[in-house]
Amino acid sequence: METLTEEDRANNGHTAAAPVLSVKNLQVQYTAESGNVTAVDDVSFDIGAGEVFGLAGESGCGKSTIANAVMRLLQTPAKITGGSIELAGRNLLDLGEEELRRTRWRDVAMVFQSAMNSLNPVMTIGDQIVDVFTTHERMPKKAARERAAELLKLVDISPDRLKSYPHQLSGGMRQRAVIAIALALKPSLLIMDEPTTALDVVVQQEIMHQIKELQQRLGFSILFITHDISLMVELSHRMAVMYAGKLVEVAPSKDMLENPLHPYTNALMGAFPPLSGPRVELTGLPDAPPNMAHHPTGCRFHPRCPLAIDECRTVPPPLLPKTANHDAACLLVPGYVLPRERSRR
Amino acid sequence: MSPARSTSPGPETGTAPLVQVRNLSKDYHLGSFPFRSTVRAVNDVSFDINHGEIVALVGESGSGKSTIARILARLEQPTAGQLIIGGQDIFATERRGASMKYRSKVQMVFQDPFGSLNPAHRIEHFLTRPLQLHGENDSPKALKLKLRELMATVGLGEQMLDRYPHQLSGGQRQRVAIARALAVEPEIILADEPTSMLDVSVRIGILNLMRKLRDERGVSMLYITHDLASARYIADTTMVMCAGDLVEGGESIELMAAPHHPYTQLLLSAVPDARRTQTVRPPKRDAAARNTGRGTGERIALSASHWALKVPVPAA
Repeated sequence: METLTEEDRANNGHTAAAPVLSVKNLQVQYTAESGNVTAVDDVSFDIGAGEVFGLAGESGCGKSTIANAVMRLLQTPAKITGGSIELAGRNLLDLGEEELRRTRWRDVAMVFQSAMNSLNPVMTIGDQIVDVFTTHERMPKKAARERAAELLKLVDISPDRLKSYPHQLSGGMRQRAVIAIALALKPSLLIMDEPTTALDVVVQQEIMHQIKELQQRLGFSILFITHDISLMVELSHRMAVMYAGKLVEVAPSKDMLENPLHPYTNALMGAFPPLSGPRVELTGLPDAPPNMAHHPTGCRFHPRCPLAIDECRTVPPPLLPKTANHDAACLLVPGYVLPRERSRR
Repeated sequence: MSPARSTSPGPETGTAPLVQVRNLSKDYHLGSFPFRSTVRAVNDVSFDINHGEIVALVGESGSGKSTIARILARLEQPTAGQLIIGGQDIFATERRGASMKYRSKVQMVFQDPFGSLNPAHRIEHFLTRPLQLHGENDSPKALKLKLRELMATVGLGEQMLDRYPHQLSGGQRQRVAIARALAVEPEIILADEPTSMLDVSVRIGILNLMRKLRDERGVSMLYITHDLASARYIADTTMVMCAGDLVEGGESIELMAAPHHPYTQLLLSAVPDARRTQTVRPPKRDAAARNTGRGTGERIALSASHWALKVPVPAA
């Protein structure tokens, strides 16, 4: 299925030939007393060069687990039990500890959730950036300091701040410093896990603007994770919606916004009251987040789905292309054809 | 339903607003002796809340909006100002703190539904306590009936009464917190960012519940939030707070269609909006937008239901 969409995209000229990141059939399980919990189930997606790819979903749907899997940061009880994660053609799952150490940060860097608190409080911002260069590039201290100053300038922080401790900076500044550290080695892929959740709207907008600018200037790819769909549509080129460990819809952001196919995407889109126009009653979703340990049969979304039909209870819908680059996993999607009847071009 | 309600009081209530806040200020003192300093968290704030009205108080963190809620809940003592509820000057008559009578009129719902429910008790406990403390010695049977009613009002099944907080989702817990506030049949509920810790998909459910309580029970609410879109969605009146000052207020839809104060404009332009056609450059936070500079405190009436604070001379 993934090869099909890849082919389609190549035909569309949608993404460059070779993806920067290619996740195929990824499965991650958490071992629990009550049995294994499959947090990520058969997830496949590609991120092209210079592409911003968004991953949206409720808390607990597995989106952060994917981020940590790509960084190979998962620790017991979490375990990657299947699939592959290829970064520029290399399967990250085959790499040893030493190779991983070299790959992390140089090829793929990550801005963590509540990253502003991930700075070391007893080291100056400068020392923490210099650390990256001395550890990964064996750069002399002096040269590293110069590079650190350049990096801070890149994110609009005065180089005087190199001597500041994290607590002397505002939340927004700290977040920008963390982004600077992530970009220090010019990675081809930057993973951002809810980079602005702890920030105020005004600061959030500043940071998002900055990320967009840097991305356009430096051309790295981004895997952007959030539950705020409006934010995601503003930033990302293409996005995926995740529910209970599975991708339920993948499409270019504009398409997803204008023509969401999956009822869950629809519900997420409808969860934001508009800032203009008449006040209309919104419905949201019934308050019953999925139980990851015992997935319902059929479509995992059916217990909360307003449109569910009998088949939804028994037939698990595969993620299939609706148009060239718009995939959805729902039996009710108009024009949805079951796999065996599918005849593509 | 028509959510765009007029702010005029209902037929059964008088013309006086339910809550009148007058010239409320709060200073926090920092440091100790030689290094003492004062931070003015709330500066000369006045507003009304009518019967059956939802008033939203929006602003960034640190703007003082939660402080106002905490003062109204009598969790903090004000430095100056008056609070008049139902004609009674509260700070003058109840100096020490909230009386039981006050608490049966004013209830609060907190931001964090994970921290505001004691993990050692079943849901039943949280709802039984206020009923026993404030109610009229109900028989166990009558109590059960009331519990069931409360749960139904907030959209929870009766079987949830036997659960512990950790067995509930964030949205369900927040519903319990609202039920707990409702148990004493308050006239006003102070809701301090009740949805900010919840998943986007269930936020709407809580907002709709708040709307339902206003429409069906006539409960007034002070809704504290930094989410302007949700304020527009449920609040009849929205007030904008910036660094301790109330800078603009008015009928929610009118205010957000034509924001007057630069700070309101800044806040509105920062809300992520997928449907926005052009990208908006974040405005530089200059002194005029960020710090109103404690102007004269003079209000300009923009219409019958919309006012803004006069902006001090803009930095040229």
